[in-house]
Amino acid sequence: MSLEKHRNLLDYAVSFLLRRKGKNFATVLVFTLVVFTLASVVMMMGSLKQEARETLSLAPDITVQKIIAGRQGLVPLEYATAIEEIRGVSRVEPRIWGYYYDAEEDATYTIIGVESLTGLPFEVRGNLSESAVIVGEAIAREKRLRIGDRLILRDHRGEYVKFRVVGIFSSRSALQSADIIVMPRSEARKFFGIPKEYSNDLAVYVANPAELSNIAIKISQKLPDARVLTKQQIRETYDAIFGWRSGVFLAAILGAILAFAILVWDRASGLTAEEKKEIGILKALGWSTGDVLEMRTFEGVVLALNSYLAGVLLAYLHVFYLGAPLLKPVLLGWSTLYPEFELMPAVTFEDLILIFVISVVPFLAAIVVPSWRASTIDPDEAMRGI
Amino acid sequence: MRGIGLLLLAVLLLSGCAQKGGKVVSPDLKPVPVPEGARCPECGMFVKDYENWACEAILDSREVKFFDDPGDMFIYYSKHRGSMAKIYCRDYYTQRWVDAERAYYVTNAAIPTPMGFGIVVFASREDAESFRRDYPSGDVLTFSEVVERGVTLK
Repeated sequence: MSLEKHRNLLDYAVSFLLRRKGKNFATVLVFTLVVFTLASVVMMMGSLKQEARETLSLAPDITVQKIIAGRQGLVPLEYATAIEEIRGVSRVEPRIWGYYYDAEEDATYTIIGVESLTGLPFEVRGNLSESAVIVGEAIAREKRLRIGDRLILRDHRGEYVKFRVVGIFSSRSALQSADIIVMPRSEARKFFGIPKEYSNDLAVYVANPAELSNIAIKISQKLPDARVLTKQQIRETYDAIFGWRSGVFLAAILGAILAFAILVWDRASGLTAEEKKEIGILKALGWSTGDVLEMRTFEGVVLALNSYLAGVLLAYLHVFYLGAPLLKPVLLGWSTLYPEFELMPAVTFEDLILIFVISVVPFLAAIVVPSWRASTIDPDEAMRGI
Repeated sequence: MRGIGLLLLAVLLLSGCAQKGGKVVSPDLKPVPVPEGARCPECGMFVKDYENWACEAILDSREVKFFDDPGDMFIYYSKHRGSMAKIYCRDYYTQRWVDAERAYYVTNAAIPTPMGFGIVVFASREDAESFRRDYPSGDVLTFSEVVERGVTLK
């Protein structure tokens, strides 16, 4: 019985809304836009932070580069020996890696040299001879490569070198793997023409995180021309950049949110004479204050939920399918950290609740409180339009 | 929201604890990895969160007790020394388990430890001396010297 009553009230609320299509449509539109903007920022930042975290989890504790005349140069292998002598350093790995421009595809790949192709977290099939490579899935897609195919690249002397694809790796995060070619370190060295006694940089691993910053200091004391980057510094830089950018943007749209709040308040609190009359008639027909209030709440919930769902859905499509074209110009700068990459969907329940709390809850409050005042008025007065 | 997250985490941790109510044993007196949810018998802190400072004591019953700060281990030792078969601490530099009775300690060290006892563990005297040069404070002591002096919070 009582459920039937609520259903009828909801029914009435919907028909009430439909009778004022134009006005309500405008509210839904504005509301959806606000939710869409908020959700886009929250989702994009969440996704970028997730990417950064995953990338960092693979980064070494300390990265050591050599700076010559203010620019990055090759690191002599004696540096690795010098660092290994420092107490608390568990491993130093000279890394060979670099960028390769593929004119045919107009794309830049990252070539990484590794000690051995086995033992990597990717599936490897085929003959692991000297010229074997593993390629990222984006390269495989672009160049239509399959396992066992040949990959021809031009080395530093301009000569064509044949490689055989023994594996294609994909990872959830496009940033890490899409444009990477992994090959044995000796091959990468030959390909780039890096002398035997040098490497691009050094990856230093430290056993005890408590000693990390002290080791970083010792390295820069021992090797004054080295640039020492700790994982912590990189993480702080990322956090500062993302935090600052999203902060600036949220501050900028704060005005829009406020304008929206005023609009809602105005719309909901300033009941028109017609609306007042309607409430008066309902009360004269025997509706209680509670019924009127419930009807108005349903009205608000229908508006708010539709706008919220539409806004979140649009934001998801905008950010993760279209790559946030509307936000990119505003938040430009993250793309200078890395070459173009696709945003990986990373929406947490907390994000959704956050958006809900900032948008829907104030709206409901704005709509219900004034109606409560209106619904307590005397029906006689309301109908006579006093 | 963060509050709810923390609450959930706490519930998860507590339930994890309840499940792992069983004792950890080391029948062959070898060091065992610190399990999730293990608590220090002296201060009650979760040891896994401070793994790089951890110590463990294997009792005569082969039950293993875990400590989040070497200082807690020394306090436990002062009360139960008769029933302790083997003690391991983590070497500060390599993070490998070392025999606590043959390790060297820097006391009153100038770096923060989980409980603030300021005791840092080293596999060799040279390591301990090198540490004291980096952080000039405290003394280099052997296990028995630390026991003799007694352990107090700084």
